[in-house]
Amino acid sequence: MNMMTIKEDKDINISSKIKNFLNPDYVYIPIPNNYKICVNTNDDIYKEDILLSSNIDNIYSPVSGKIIGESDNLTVFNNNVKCLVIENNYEEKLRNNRPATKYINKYKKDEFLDLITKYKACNEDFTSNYKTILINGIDPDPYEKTRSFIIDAYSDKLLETVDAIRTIFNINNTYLCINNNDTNNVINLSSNIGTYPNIKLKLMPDIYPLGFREILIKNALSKREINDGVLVINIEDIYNIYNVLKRKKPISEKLVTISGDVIEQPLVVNAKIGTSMADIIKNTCKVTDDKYYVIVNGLISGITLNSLNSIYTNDIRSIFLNTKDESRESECINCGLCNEKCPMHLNPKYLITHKKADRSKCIHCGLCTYLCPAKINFKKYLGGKDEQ
Amino acid sequence: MNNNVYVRSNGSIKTISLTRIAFLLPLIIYGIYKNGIYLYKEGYTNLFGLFKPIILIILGAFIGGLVNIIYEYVIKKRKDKLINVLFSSFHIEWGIILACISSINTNILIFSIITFIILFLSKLFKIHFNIMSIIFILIYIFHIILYNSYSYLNVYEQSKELSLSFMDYLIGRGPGGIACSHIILLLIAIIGLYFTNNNKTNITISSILTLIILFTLLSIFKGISISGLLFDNNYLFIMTFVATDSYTSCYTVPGEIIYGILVGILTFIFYFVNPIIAPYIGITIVSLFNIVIDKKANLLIKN
Repeated sequence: MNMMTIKEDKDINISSKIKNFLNPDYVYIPIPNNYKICVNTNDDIYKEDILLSSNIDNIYSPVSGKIIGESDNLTVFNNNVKCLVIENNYEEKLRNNRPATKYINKYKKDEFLDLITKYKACNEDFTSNYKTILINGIDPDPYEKTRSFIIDAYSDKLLETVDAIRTIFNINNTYLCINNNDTNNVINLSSNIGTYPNIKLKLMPDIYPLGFREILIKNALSKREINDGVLVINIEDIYNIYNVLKRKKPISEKLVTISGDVIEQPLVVNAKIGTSMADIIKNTCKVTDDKYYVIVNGLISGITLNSLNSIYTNDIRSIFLNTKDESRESECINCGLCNEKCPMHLNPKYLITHKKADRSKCIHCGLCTYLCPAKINFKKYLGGKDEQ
Repeated sequence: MNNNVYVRSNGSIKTISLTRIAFLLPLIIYGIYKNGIYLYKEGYTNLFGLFKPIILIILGAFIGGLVNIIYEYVIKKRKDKLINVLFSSFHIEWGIILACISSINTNILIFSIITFIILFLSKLFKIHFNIMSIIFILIYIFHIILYNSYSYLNVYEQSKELSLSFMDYLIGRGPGGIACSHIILLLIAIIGLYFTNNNKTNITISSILTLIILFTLLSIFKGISISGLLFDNNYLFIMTFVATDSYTSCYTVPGEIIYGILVGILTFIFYFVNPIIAPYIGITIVSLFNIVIDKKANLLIKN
């Protein structure tokens, strides 16, 4: 296995409790192209009301409050986006309380697919023919703890949902992969999983980048299982699916790791989707230094944001405020470490020196950059996830 | 801006150099004993002879460091910390290795001047061949020109008629460079470097295996001892520390293996021309083609 044990910075110890930040003054809902705005300025709205709709799905309000207009000075992954601005009235009022579905495994396949699509609970393609379900409960970045906290907080719901998906799609081979160093979750799941004999718990070693989908599939499953078709679902999507199947509840809040070397006490926060990152940081943690970079989705594989003037969306797993690594990039020493350790068996040196080389297989895990003794920033040359 | 890096492994040119030097230390200590302390104790040399091995080793490191200091502080006008400047390239390690592979009979002035000039030039210009090999070949040529000889035998070994067994070579009684003769310590260094991932072990193994095969055939045909063929001229040490020079050797697995095999074959061929500089000529030639070897070797594997 071409993977590495990453020594975690001793200064980044995540608090064991989830902190809630569910009452932002304003939330900002990005308006994608091809979506119709279903509300008007000054409208009073309820939580989970439809704000935007397309032919396929809807975007719902994460809070109750008042529409105060549109803003176009906020960003999502460094791209300027037009947003619908909602002033929160902190009442969390719902238009109508939806009854909970008792047995979520009783849904028919079509009903399931309709709900998942309508509420955008998961982006996976459920329509193909699969023989195996692989649930990814491993955090992609060694400094992230979001998935670990989701499993810790909602293990019973997650297992119920996985079993429901398995039943609905009639797939017998189901694995739930978690990190074997994640002691709490190993104990927690081991004691609960007995109720679901068809779900197998797979303990994976704490090595990077095992949380990446492509790498996990290769390491958790046999070649036959891979060839027969694998449906991979992240643990956060399982929780979203649970909410949709149980209460038809759209994604209005989610967990995010907030960490980095300028954060006094790193923690996992439950925040409303659409909150500005600056608000989340200001209200949940103490920043010890003003000179920092904002990085989302991992210190190794993540991308740097231009500022905190960005919106917290469903795609964000972690926010880091960190000082930059100041090592000077020197000439390649030809050591071959990048080539030797690439989890995709690519040759990063070749990829960055040959413009026509096929970079499509690169998963942008950043391991080559992390390892390089000459401190070459391969990420700069190979491009990042935001550039895909 | 979008693809900065915030965490790095602690692996660097400095850690690689220091690890490699650490694995060289037992060999150096034994070399100081064998070529200095022992000779002095037995009355074969004077006080200068006692310190000569350590002087050469320190001089090698000093020249490597000096080249880096002049280049970074004077030419590039950088203001980095001294420790970072000293280990901004492998020059200190190269200087030490050069002292290790040099004979105890090496003239200190020739060693210093050639090492300094070539190491300095290698900083100024992007040189695509193995620097250590070139320096050693030049040191050898200058000794031949000035003294008409360059022998690995120290004064004690010159005074005796050596008849060494395989075991003698293993425990360092064979002739060789200042810190190259103890085969057991060298094997420990190879294993250590392999496990700490600080050496291109594929090159070492493939080149040594090639040499073993070729020298075995030669020893069968000529009826001479294979131990002498393999151990007399530092070949194992050279394949471990010189042939694996990071900058100028291959870096892909198939490339490293082919590189090692080619070095082994060329060393064997040039052995018949001059056994002392044979591996250095082989390494210099193959290092010129390292990029091509990497490319072709990988194409070969893919097809």
